[in-house]
Amino acid sequence: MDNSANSQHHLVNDPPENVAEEPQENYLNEGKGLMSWLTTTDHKRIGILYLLTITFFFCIAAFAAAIMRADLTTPQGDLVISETYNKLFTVHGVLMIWFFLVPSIPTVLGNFLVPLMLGAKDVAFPRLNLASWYVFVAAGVFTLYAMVAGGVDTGWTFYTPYSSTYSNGHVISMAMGIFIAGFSSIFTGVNFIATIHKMRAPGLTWMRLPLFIWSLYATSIVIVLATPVLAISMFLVMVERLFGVGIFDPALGGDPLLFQHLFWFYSHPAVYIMILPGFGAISEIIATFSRHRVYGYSVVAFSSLSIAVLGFLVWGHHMFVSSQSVYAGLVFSLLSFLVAVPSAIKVFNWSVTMILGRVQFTTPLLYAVGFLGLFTIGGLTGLFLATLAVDVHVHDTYFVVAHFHYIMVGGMVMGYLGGLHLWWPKITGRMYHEWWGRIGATLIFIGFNLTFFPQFILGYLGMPRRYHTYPPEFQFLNVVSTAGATILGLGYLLPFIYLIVSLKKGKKAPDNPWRATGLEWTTSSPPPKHNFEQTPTVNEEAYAYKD
Amino acid sequence: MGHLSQEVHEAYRDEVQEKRTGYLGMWAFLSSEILFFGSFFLAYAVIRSFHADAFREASGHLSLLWGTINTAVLLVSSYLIAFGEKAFELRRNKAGMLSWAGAAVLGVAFLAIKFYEYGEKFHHHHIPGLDFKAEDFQHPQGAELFHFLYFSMTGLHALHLIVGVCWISGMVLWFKLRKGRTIQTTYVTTAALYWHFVDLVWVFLYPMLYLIRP
Amino acid sequence: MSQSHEDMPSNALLLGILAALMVLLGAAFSLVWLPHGPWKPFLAILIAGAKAALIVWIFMRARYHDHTSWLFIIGGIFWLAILFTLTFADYLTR
Ligand SMILES: [Cu+2]
Repeated sequence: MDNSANSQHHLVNDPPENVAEEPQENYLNEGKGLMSWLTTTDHKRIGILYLLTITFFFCIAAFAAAIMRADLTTPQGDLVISETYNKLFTVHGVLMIWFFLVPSIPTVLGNFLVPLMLGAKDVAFPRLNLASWYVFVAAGVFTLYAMVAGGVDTGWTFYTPYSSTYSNGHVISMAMGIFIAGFSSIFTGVNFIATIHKMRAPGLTWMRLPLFIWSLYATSIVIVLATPVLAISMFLVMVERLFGVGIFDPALGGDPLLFQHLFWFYSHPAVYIMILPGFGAISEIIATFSRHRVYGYSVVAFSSLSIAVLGFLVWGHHMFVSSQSVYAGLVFSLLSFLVAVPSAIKVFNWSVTMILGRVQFTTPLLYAVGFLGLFTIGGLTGLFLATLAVDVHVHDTYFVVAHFHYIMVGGMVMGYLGGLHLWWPKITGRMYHEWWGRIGATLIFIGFNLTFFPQFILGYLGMPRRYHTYPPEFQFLNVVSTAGATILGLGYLLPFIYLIVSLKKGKKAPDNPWRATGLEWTTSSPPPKHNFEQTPTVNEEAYAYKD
Repeated sequence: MGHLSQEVHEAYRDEVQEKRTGYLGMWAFLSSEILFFGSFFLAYAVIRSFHADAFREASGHLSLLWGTINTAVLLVSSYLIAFGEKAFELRRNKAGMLSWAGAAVLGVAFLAIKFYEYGEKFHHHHIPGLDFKAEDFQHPQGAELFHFLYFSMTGLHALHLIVGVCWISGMVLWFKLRKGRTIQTTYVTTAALYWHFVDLVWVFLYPMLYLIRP
Repeated sequence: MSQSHEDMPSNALLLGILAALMVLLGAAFSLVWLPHGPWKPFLAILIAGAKAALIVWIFMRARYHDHTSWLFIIGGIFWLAILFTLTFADYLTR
């Protein structure tokens, strides 16, 4: 896998201008028309289908957030009534989590890159892969129906017995959407597991895999083992609502905490379903633009796996102020501290990699640096919340809202956008505008902090989440937050525009524009239908940068 | 991809790789299914810890005889699937198809018995939520929850079995239409694994639901 | 793929497993007539576990395949154990 030599050789013989003149056969121009896309089993095309779908859901969810932030500029909440506000945060949470964050990196970048990085022709089960997209779309239809038909006011957590008995919203349809979306996740997870185990190119041993693959492997394990539990918790809510049986209703002999146990058994690990792929993208970006092997490769690889396991032992930290036993609370609190260890190891290793390497401040690297800052803040405030006594004070306040946005938006979305930029030339065959890219990344970083840092303070001062009115003394910080959200929105709009523009106006991308290692860079940009002219053979470790 | 045989999907190098991948992929999916039914087992265990007496009493209202017969039916069907799988691998396609058809018939028999049992429940007005005759039980609240779990768990299991019957009989038909051509053992392996798993779930449902009677 | 006889169970073994499963079913069935005790449900689940082990080991060919799939067989059971243990860590200490 002598990549640097390979790419240089390529650049000498086949300069980008040359590529421009005769369009080569690739996965994009192989087969035309809508039907060729809707019936494709090509993992690269399925990745594009997912990209379009999740971008659509992101826009709706972001729009809901925009209305909420606008409403929160005044203490009285002049824009919408309480009921509408409840429906807005529900749809924002449900769409962002299950229809954007959970699928984002795995189904877009993962689908596109896993076979390429492994030197395989496709994923293990190409038809299952396409099926997962259709299932995902069906899930989206149920969820959007619930939204259009009148909405749901339970919040994305669907706590019982409110969701199962008392709420007047279209809970069944929305829970059905989430139930179905789960199967789409499981299909993707199963596919990745089988692909990574069995489809690696000759010579590509486990310890030579890119860290992106390691993190997606860990993610797939979490997806496969956690998602079915969510499915059952949603199933029980639906059935209970339909038939009026009370498995979660104390008045009918049931127990609401049973729902919370099932729900958080999935939903805490779901944080790792969202963030682990982000870790993977960040590892690739940092190695590429530090021109250095990721420091402590095996430690970083195994920390992904240990997060996947430890992540399942901590769900009770969401239930400290429920009627959960205090002894269980103690155990969950202790175990929660433990998860911080592998996460911190990763942050240290990435920082050391950048110190040891020669850093190039390109757009993806700016996203990665932003990720490091925001994820660290998000992770450290997580320790506050894992502490029993502190949690009692800040539970259900904006402190929690700020914390998980730092992890999931600050961490995950930065990782996703960074990865999207890193591999954009490979996916589309075009280069995006570098300066606009840097401006976008900077705006997002500033806008994000301005939006969510004030929310830590608001929460600590006692402003509860999920209310659209608040005491007047909180107005200043809320206005700052909304102003930040405007900048953040602008920051997201920029890549949306310049990436689309690059499809027409962007420079043709060479096969390996970043002179990166990794099998995906040895094939053409965009890759041919079967990825490689010949099955590649690997004979060195990952990130073998020699300059 | 001309150099590959027609029987191997183009993503794979050869049939061995394809079969191993199919086996592993199916197990990965089944590990998900373990947690799927496992969450129901958890719900059962928690609710039963609240209503131990009611569960015992309500279990007495299920037909032990039909439950036991159904367990035997599924165990035999699993044997037929295992026998048929081996036959397919040894290229004794006729024996394979015959024993798989037998397994599918047993699957249908299981479903028929199950729906007869459901019919009995309707007849006795023991349908949780919709039509539940509380007077029949000393502990009606727990008994209703037991029946709720009974219907959801056996219902989900029956759904899985319906998928299994369609899958198995569909494959037998398909093999028959492709007469004379080799049969991909990958497809055989994955279908067999799925069938056995559905059987496994019932193996646990049987003591949980039928054997706790007073 | 030519299949050798070592990587599949013999006909006698398959029949033997079926017979063992039926014996276990009989044992579980006869539990109903034994006097009550807290051990009974555990015994019933234990018998079910024995049946399951036989099915996985021979019918599902766990014995004959490479060990990667074991990861997921054991993984599924282990994760289910996590779900039960930590949930009951709450319920049993209230
Ligand atoms: Cu958590």
